[in-house]
Amino acid sequence: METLQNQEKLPEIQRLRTLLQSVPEETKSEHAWQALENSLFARMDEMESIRASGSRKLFRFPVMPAAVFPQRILGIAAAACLVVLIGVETFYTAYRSAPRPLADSQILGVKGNVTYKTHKSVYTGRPIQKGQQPPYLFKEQVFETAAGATCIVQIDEGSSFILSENTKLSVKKADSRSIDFFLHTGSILASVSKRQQNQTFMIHTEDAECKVIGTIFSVSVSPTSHRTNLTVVKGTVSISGKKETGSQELVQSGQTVSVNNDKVMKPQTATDEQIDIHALSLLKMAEEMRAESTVPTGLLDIASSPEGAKIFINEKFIGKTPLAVTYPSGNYTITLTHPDFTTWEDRITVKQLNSSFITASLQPKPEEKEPAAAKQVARKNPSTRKKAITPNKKDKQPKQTVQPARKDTKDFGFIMNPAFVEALMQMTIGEYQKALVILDSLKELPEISITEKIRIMSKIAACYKGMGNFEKTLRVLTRRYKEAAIDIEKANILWEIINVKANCLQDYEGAEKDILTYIEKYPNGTWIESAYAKLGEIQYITGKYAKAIGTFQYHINLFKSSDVVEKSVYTLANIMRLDIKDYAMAVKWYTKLLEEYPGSSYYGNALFERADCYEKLNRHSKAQKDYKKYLELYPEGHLKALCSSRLTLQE
Amino acid sequence: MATDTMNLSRQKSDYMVRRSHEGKKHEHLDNEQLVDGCRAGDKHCQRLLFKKYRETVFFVISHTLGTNFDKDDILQQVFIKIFKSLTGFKGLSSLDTWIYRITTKVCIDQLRKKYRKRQLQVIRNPDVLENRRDTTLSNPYEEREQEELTKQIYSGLEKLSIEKRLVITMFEMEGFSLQEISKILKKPIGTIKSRLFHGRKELAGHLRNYLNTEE
Repeated sequence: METLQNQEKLPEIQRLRTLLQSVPEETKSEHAWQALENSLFARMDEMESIRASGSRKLFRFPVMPAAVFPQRILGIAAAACLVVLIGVETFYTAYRSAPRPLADSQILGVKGNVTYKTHKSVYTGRPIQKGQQPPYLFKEQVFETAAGATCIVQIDEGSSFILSENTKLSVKKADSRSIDFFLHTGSILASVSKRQQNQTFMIHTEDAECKVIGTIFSVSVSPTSHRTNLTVVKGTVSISGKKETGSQELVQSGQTVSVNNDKVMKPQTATDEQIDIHALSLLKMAEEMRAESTVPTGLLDIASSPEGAKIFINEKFIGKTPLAVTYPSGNYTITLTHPDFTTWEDRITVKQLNSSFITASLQPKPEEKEPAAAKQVARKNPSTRKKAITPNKKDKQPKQTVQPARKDTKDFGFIMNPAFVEALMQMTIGEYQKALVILDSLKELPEISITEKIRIMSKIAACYKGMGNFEKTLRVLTRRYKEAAIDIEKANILWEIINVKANCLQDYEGAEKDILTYIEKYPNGTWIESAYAKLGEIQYITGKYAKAIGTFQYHINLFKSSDVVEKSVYTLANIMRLDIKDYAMAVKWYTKLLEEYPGSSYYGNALFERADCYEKLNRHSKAQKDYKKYLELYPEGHLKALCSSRLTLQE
Repeated sequence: MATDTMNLSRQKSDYMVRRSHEGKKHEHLDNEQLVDGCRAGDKHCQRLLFKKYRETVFFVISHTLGTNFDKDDILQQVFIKIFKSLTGFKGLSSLDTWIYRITTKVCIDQLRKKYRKRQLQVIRNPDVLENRRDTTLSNPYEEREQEELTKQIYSGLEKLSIEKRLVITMFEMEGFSLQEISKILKKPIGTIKSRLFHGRKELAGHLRNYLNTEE
């Protein structure tokens, strides 16, 4: 210590100490600190997401100097890696080629007395209920159809068969690699999609086997002679005798062949009778039915006052009010008729995964000579937000009839309950408090159903929202969300919850969580595109830049081109420029916007901002070009002065 | 229109202000609570910890590494290391000492990188630069002189061994006591004294021209 103390007394050392202490401390503004902090947490988020996604970065080995890491060890490690890789490859190949159960197989329809075995039990002639988990097609399964019975079975995507009456068919093999049926008696008409190289589809009979290469064909076994007959409707089927080797024929479309004394006869042109047109059309119908189930549909909830009106959609009768049905998306004309009331008609648009609520107030038919213009009330549930139904109020006068008016109002449904209508009226004039009182009292009525309650709750939520009481709005919406039974409705309510949280309550964390739920649960929901955009925006607002960038990029790739995507591209460019300060990337996104969205409302701004990025990248000539282009396109633009001054500076 | 994006940045700044208010609510948190929060992955606590130590860490980095390093990047590395290693912080030393230790470790790693590229100082925030230009001191010569001197001091420091350089910057520039340095660097106090003694001597030799000017 003494030496050190003595040293400190030396003038040279004292001067050195003063010199060292004179070094100014580098400071940062609060803004710079904030930027640094945000960038740090974005970096951490990115690392987190890389770790979570199990990206290959996990397998990055530290590179050690050759001296520390002898070549021998390197060799062993490489060999070990090779062995592991071969093992994984072998396992994967085996796994890929292993036969799997036919997950898509299902019994599409049963008519009459059909016996079929499932994993658990044997059913006889039990009709297939919609939504019931259909049994898979599996080994040792036996189908038997009685007289007049039919059974349609889907094998896999694009392949199905239909069994005619008095048919017995055993399933010998049914997996992703091979399908083998044994036809004891009767007839089978099969439509088989093209088989892969390692896939086989065979139908055996006592005396023949038919090998399929992707076709429509029927095989029948006569109940008396047990002779096999094969008719090919489309494609080619190879048939061979079982006992006599070498007896094989390739049967082309429109040909029929029979097996006689275990010998395959020469193929002949099939007659119309041999091609079972009826079974063919049935099979086609069943396939169409299956395909239809994937057609985008929306929910149509129709109520009327009074209830019991007949509903016609495009003049097709679909049922009586109240009715909630899923209906393929599209534009339709809906007509409600009631014997004692005037006919109600309107145009509706059913949107995929959207609920369209229609409430029609049917007016009593006017007294003769006193035709009164009946009112139409067609409302859209506010929860759907989008204009799903567009009632044309002005030109749609209800059709007039001459029957006497019905005075009995007992039949009036709840929706046209005068108190409820009053509440709606109060809401339209902004008297939310009054509407709320009415709705609260209605909600407590013992006779109301759950559907009605949900409707009231949606109105209550709207009232709270109108009053600016967002916490309550959220509470009511959350309750509605829990009570709603239909997915479409749930999706829409969830979207509304997200909007209230993000826009009204600024609860970004909550909104983010809900958006993730929405994306996960309703990937085909109406708001899915906006959901991605909103997620990105929220992540940006909350400083999670890495996540926001990822979300925006995913969104842009997923939806290619739309107004929402255009905004995402612009936002992404801005994040790169202002927050990440990756000017090269910013230029890339601005360029994308400028090239792909030339009509964009962000065009001018993007042009200026890209020029700014070019300047930061010391690409002054490019920057100049953009500034000039801006001045050319927007001589009176709000960035005119800035552009001019920057151009002057550069010149 | 662009107003959408303006709205977005406004919302963002509102959120940040709110977050900073929320942060202030937690300002009474002591180190133990902060550490617990950070360990649990609480982003608020992590941000608070960052706010609490950012300047100190930054000064250590800038004094130890001098110019020619992307200090912002290194500062981020330090904090990433801090948040990652907090689970292993047993509380045997104070949080401050532990953080300094991590900072010095990261700095040593940086200095030891044999094939280190001389990194250019990255200007993180051009706005700040612009502001600085506007509010330039009235005597630009004085500033230029100081800049030159600082440059020479750092170049002198760079000629020292990492160990000596660390002790000198911590003792003379950061104001740590010998005991604190001994704790941070986990070296006996005698070693620290010896490094300081010889380091001073060596540095004085390198900066001889500047030490003699006044005399």
